[in-house]
Amino acid sequence: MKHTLFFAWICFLAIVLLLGAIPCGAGAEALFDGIVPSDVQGWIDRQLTENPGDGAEWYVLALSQYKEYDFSSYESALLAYLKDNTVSSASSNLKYALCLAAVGSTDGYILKTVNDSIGKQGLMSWVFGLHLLNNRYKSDTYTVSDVTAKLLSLQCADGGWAITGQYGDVDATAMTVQALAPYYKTDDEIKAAVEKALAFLSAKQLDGGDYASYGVPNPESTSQVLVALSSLGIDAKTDERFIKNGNDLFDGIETYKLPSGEFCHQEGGEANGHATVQTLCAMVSYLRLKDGKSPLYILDHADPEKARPAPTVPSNTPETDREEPTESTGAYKWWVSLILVGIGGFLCVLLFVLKKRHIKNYIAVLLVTAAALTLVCVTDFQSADEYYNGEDEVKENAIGTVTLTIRCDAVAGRAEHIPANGIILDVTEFAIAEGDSVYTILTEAARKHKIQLENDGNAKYAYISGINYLYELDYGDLSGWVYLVNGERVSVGASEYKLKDGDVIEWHYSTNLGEDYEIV
Amino acid sequence: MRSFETCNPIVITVYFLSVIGILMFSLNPVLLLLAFLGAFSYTLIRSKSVSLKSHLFYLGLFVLLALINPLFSHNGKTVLFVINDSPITLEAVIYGVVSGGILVTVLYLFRSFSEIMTRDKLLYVFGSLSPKLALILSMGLRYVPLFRERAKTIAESQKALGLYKEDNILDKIKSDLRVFSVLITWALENGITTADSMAARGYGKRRRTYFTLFRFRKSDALLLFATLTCSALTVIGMAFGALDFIFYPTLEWGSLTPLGMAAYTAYGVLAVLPIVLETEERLQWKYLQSKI
Repeated sequence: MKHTLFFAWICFLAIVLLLGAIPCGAGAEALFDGIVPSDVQGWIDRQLTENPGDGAEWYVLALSQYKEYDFSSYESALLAYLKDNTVSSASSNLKYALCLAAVGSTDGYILKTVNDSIGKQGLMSWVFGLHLLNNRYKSDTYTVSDVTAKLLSLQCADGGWAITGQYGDVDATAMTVQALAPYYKTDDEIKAAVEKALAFLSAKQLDGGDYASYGVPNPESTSQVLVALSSLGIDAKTDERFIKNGNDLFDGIETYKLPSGEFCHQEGGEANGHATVQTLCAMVSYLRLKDGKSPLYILDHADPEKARPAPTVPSNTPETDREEPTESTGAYKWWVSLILVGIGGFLCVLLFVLKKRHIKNYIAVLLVTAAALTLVCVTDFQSADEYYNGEDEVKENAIGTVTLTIRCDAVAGRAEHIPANGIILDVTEFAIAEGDSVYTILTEAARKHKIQLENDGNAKYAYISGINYLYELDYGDLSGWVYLVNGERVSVGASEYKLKDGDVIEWHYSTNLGEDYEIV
Repeated sequence: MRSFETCNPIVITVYFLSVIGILMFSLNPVLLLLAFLGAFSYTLIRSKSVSLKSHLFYLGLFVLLALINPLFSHNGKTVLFVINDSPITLEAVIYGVVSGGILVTVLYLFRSFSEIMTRDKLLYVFGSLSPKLALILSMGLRYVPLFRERAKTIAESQKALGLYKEDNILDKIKSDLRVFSVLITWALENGITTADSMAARGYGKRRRTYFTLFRFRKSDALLLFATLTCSALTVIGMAFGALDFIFYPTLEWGSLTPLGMAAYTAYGVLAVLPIVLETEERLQWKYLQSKI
């Protein structure tokens, strides 16, 4: 009996010692126990395949770079999803293309996106675009050096990169470094820029080894830094610059691990999908460094030689469609102006013939004609089809995306024109540019999805009295439209609330002055 | 039967109030059409004085009102075109046409009303209810012709003084503006003078008596009965939703029920009552003339 106990004790000690001695790579692997279930292939075929467009991309990318799995079911699900849903945001398009490349797809979507979407939506569209170019996909519009030059020009003075504003942000900086990593050792200019970024990142690391984004310490930012370092070939466990108080990035990430194996966004929070999947990416990236493989975003299965060309029709039509209306609207103005000037001239002749040749008569005719011409200039006639063209507004300097929902659950199905399920516009993504307000996005949605809109104010001070033929005061004295940003009511008008990346806008029809929604 | 305008003033007032009241609260194109036909043709038959110019003024007012609504209301499913990001819809245009039509029709009706209801008649109807109301009504209705007269006088005196230039458009507008300004000044001053004058004559000190010659005859009772019956039928039709007409978001009207039919007929009869009476009286006059 004593012997058995003693033997067990020895065994226990041995295990503890062994665990302590496990090489760092294995330690990283242990970190993502619980993120991915043991039956990985089954998990890919079921859970991931069922939600193709909704967060599964990063799991798929990480797993495809980790071990050999069969992603064919996921690939077809994602392609079907992309066929059914128009993805408006350029960054999202690039993300899906990257995911398709990772699973070795040869679909035309990849090259179409490489041609159309790079640089269309701010920093992230350059970064994701560069990842695709790094994998030897060819773009008609940009070369690798174009994009790297653009990224270097976007670097902030403090050495970081930012989606918006002039001060570097940890996530944006780390993600940009990931894209520039393949040229770190070969290009001196890029090397200098990346060194500056590393100094920036080193300075931003907290005492616990982790990073904060917008003032909140979280594992996602930390994971992005780990991916960046691994891509550069820097071992985060040994590099002095990224160890604070004896805590390295792994210690920083470990803080957020939950007993279930998943990760939370903030200490003490609940399991968070973003946090979990980005940690997975970081761990895979580190393992690849240890195994001497390429960086995370240099994809093992990408096959640019076999990639099918982009389908030409859909990519070209928006250009021509946008050209024509502007021409026709311009044309009608010229004609109307010409007719007005003609009428003015005719009146002058008439005055002359009728012997009312006082100079002030001619001046009066001139004034009236000028007023009419001004009116023509400031009004802009469009046909209904031109206005509700169902297209996204192209934003050259987009700073991110927001989502918009319009619902009227309170009165759902009460009249013929009110949808029975209360959804006027389901969650839809929109690209935003600097200074875009809630009202800007609402009008954009109205144009794209042909939703009727009534603004009792003006563009600067909007007051939305009706959406989709549903007006304020239609269902009681306290009924009307309210809007929420990130789940909270805002105390300013819709045209005064400036949006930032990731905002979630909801419009609701309320029958009690919006009291069902808390005011903050 | 006597002509409409010689009927008892109470009957006339009840008639106009019913026609205008129903029209204003219905927003129904068919009722509007009936009322407009009645009011317009009665004006044509009765008052020869209404010039083409004032008909044109009403037409212009109607067009303006019909155009303004679609510029400010963008409700409606049928988008015709878009001006400066604001959709112009067919429904809003039709709503504008109907509401503009109602306003113009009411103006025509009021015009006839103020011409028929002279000051003594107004005092007779409202004097017993509220002498103050009667006075305000009679003074208020008098202002439009009074102002027109005044404007003419002012313009003539300006011309006599050599201040009114007509030889070119700009100077004419300037002169007209001066006439308008003088007219406003005069109107304000006139208000004070009138008040002073009324106070000096002891107005409002005690209840005043008045004498009228109006009698309530059998024919008046008949007309009153007809007016009330027709109005009641129409109101019942409206109350039961037989005359409902929905503009937004798409034009909708119910199928024509027997009640709706009765209500439309009743309102049609109501609208043409004065014309019928007027024509009858004229025919009588014509045929009873001695033909020797």
